[in-house]
Amino acid sequence: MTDAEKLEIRDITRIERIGAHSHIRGLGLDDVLEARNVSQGMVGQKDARRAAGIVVNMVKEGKIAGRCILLAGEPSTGKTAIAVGMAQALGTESPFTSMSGSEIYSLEMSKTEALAQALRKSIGVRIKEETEIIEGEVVEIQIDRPATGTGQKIGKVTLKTTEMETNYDLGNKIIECFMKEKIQAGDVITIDKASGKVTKLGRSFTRARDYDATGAQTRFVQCPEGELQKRKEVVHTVTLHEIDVINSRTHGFLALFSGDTGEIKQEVRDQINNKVMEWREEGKAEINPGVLFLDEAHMLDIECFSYLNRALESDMAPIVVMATNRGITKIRGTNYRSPHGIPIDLLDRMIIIRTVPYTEKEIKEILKIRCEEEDCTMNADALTVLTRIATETSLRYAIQLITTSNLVSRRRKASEVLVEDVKKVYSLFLDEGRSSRILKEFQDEFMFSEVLDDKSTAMDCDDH
Amino acid sequence: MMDDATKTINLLIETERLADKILQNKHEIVALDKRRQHTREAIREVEKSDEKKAWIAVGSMLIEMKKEKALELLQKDQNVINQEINKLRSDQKVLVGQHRDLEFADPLKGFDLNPLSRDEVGAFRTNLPGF
Repeated sequence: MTDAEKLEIRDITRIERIGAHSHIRGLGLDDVLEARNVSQGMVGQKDARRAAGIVVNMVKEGKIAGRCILLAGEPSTGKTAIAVGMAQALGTESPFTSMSGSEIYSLEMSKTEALAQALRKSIGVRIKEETEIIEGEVVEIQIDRPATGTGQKIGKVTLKTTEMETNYDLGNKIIECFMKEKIQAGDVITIDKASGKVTKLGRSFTRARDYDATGAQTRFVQCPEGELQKRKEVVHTVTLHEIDVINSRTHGFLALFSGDTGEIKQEVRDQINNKVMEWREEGKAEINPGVLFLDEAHMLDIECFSYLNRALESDMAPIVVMATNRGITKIRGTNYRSPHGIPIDLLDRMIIIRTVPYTEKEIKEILKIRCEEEDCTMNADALTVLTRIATETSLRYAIQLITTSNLVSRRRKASEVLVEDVKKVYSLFLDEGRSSRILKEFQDEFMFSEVLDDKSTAMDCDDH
Repeated sequence: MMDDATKTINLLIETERLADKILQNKHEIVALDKRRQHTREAIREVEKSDEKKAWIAVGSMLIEMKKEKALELLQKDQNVINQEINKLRSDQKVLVGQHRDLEFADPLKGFDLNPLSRDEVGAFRTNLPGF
């Protein structure tokens, strides 16, 4: 008992994590797809953004499918940023799946299965649902029960909208529904014409003052407008993967929550493909190819590449966007060297978009945007110093310094970050260049320095 | 310069004309539905009554006629109204499409599809969270 009394409850303030590309809202293009200099969190990279914009437009119009696009460029030149921008520009209508090349190496799933699932997650199927409903506010409801308690019940209900009012005679079955939902005068309800299902939407606002005491869960809604008998059409976009999962009998839909879908049999996929094709021929469904983004594409190996090569030829294939920062390097899983570490035959199918290193002015602009994103007010001089650091080391390192220097400045209760804060964190945290210089200098004092020489050539797939 | 101005005005006129037409159709659907509900009530009443003959108002005239005949007439009316509403609803889609086109908005996708059958929708609803 005493332990229980000691318990205290604290409010937990939720901290939103800020991702590296959380400041990107779109591609920052105008109506004619010309890139604005600084817009929607995007800076510079005009040609690449314009190219990405054209791709996005083609995807939106459903003109291309089964194509492959490669974003190639040096590290931290905004490849992932452009992909995130594409995702934002596509909106919720087209599916966008993002994964890293190394994600496919999992023990639970084969590489090709992971790729197949990713590909099918990126293809949407548009379907339409149509229901005839009667929607109105209950003005009066009258149910006559036979005196014996059992037998046929008959009833009458008066429904109204803002425009009209009408009576319905109720049958035995629908009276059950009304009683189950506890419908009374003043409720706003819908009746599904096909199934006779009655749903209570809430109570009408005009009846809000009927009682002094109402339950907290009472929802007040407006009296419906227009006609009583409406046709409701809803267009859904589901991905092929979702249909796969609900049809793979071993897992069922619960797998959608846990994400643990395991392997899906090829027969299931074939069945789904046939069904979707059938729907398409009947005019019941439209294929809506989306985008699959594969970051760090050089991490894929030769098996994945040949699988992709084949998968892109299928008539239900999304657009695959890959990003890599490698130059001419070994294709993983082989001893052959190839541009970007991607086999020539796949490269041949690709459209390559190149990103170029940022200029000093652009770097400053990006740092400014990141400062805003991280709620950090930075002194103009400090920003200049940080820009200098970014040009000499890397943009990523400089962005990390924003967060740390902001913390340092808050420690001394200052309102903005000054040059000294930046200097302090610069001395506290090493960048890659300085760290490796130190390592070289003091190599002898570290452990196992003697075996380092023969190890250095054994690293595969790394040309740094 | 003059050309641009007239072009803009023509565009605006056309947009407004379409928007007006859409609203007008909407009102018409509501009015038709009102009639549909009244006809339905009438059919019920005639069906329920024990009399052999029913009084029917045709325009401003009241006519007494056989129950079966009256029901047939009302049912015919109901069918015409239903057809009319369906026609207006499909017109509405075309008009909204044209209107969006004039406003440089992307066309609404998927509304020209045939609906899924009830079983198929039911299958999705029970299996897919958030459908």
